[in-house]
Amino acid sequence: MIVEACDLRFTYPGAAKPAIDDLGFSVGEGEVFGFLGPNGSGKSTTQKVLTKILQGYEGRVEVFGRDVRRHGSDYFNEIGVCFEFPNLYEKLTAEENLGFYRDFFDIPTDEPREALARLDLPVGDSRPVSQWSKGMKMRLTLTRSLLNRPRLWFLDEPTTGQDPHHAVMIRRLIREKADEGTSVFLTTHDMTVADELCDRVAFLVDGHVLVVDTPRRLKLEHRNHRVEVETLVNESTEHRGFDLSDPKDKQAFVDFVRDHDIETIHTQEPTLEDVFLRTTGRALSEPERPS
Amino acid sequence: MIHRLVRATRLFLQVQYRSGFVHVYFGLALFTILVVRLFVPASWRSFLVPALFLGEYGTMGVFMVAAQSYLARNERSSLALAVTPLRSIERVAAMVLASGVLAVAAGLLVFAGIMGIDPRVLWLTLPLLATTVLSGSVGLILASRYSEFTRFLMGAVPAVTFFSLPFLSFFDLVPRYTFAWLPWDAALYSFANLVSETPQLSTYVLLVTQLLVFAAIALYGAVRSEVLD
Repeated sequence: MIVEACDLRFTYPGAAKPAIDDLGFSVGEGEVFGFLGPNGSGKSTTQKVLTKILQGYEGRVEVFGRDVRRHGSDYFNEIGVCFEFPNLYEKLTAEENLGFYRDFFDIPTDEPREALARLDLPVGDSRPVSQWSKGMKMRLTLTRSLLNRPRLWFLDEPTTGQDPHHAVMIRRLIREKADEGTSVFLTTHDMTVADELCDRVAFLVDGHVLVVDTPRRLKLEHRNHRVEVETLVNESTEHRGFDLSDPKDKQAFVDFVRDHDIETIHTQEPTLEDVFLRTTGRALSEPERPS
Repeated sequence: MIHRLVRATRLFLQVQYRSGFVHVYFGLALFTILVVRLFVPASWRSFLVPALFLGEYGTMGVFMVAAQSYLARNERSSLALAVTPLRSIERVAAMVLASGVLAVAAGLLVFAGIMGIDPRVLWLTLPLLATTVLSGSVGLILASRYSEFTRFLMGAVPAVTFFSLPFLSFFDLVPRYTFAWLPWDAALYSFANLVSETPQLSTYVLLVTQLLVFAAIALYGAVRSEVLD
């Protein structure tokens, strides 16, 4: 395992209750592991513990088979971190940002110009980063996190602020890196991203992991067998639903399809968001709860 | 460690350059030279220069490094450096050293501009650098306590006033060693020793050592209080 966390708990100084409590999960090599939860559920706190930004946690957290506390500064040669918000030197150009950043690593790094081109960012742009759009800054932050060719890549809401074209590009890059063997710890509340990319997901609510499984198994567990059919009758659309787990309804569905002009047929599979809602009783987009 | 410290210092120098800090340091240096040369009699200059140095580079170190820290906090750029092999001591030291490099360069220019080209100017480098590291670290410690720059100013002004108490002994308002326990006393008197007609090497070594010890303690405090997020 690349990451193994057991009974992980962290309380911010002065806080009445822990931000994360008794967390347990693992991430395998080349796995995209989704950490899903609403705002304030403890996703970013967990990422900060794993990236050594927050110290003073309780429990056991091992990365690359070694306690995170025992990792020295060379730990950062092997991980890449992309935070939720761009954190760049805004008065420097993109190439200066990448150039200075790569100098801090003790290992071979990617060429900034090639790295920029990979995510459709302008090469040789003399403008300071402050003049770039939020989406471009986010892609630059993402690019920077890959410069040292990390074995473990932490991503926090990587498609935030991206247009559909670039969101697809980022999702493709994440999949590509995972296929090359990079483990990805993906923190998000975007279920489309999670569903498409993650090999396994953990649902996190109020600092607790409620479930860990593959998106497919989770959806199958919560599936229903209803089918919604739209037909055109006398130039108006009619809807009809069938429960395919009921043999009578199943036969009725077959007869209905045979006897009518069908416009659309939709299975009523739950989305990952539906599963999240049913499992946790919480919506992903609900506002942060005061602690 | 040294190569990372040098690289991080280069980064902060570049950021300071783009943020206009370099212009502030050198603009003020030229203004000071002009005012002193035009309005201060030559016989007063050796008395005035130490106070001027501490007033400018000691005080400015507190505010400029704190301003840099608030800038980094706004951009969240410190967080980006926290996930590189750069250690926190290297990050903080580089930030104060970058200000130190500017203060030393501007300070040497002011000294040469007022006192003329003199070999003593080179002896000024170490106390000036140590003073800026000390003041910059104090600035970072204070900045870690306030979330906004305006609130920081409210806290920093009394602190700087307190640190400036050695001026009272320097201007003979209280006995010489009354405030010798304050770090800026060493800075002030090391500058005074250098511009005096008979500089003493032993005094220089003693005061600069004292200053370096204070700077190291303040730097340690700044590392401990570093705000990343």
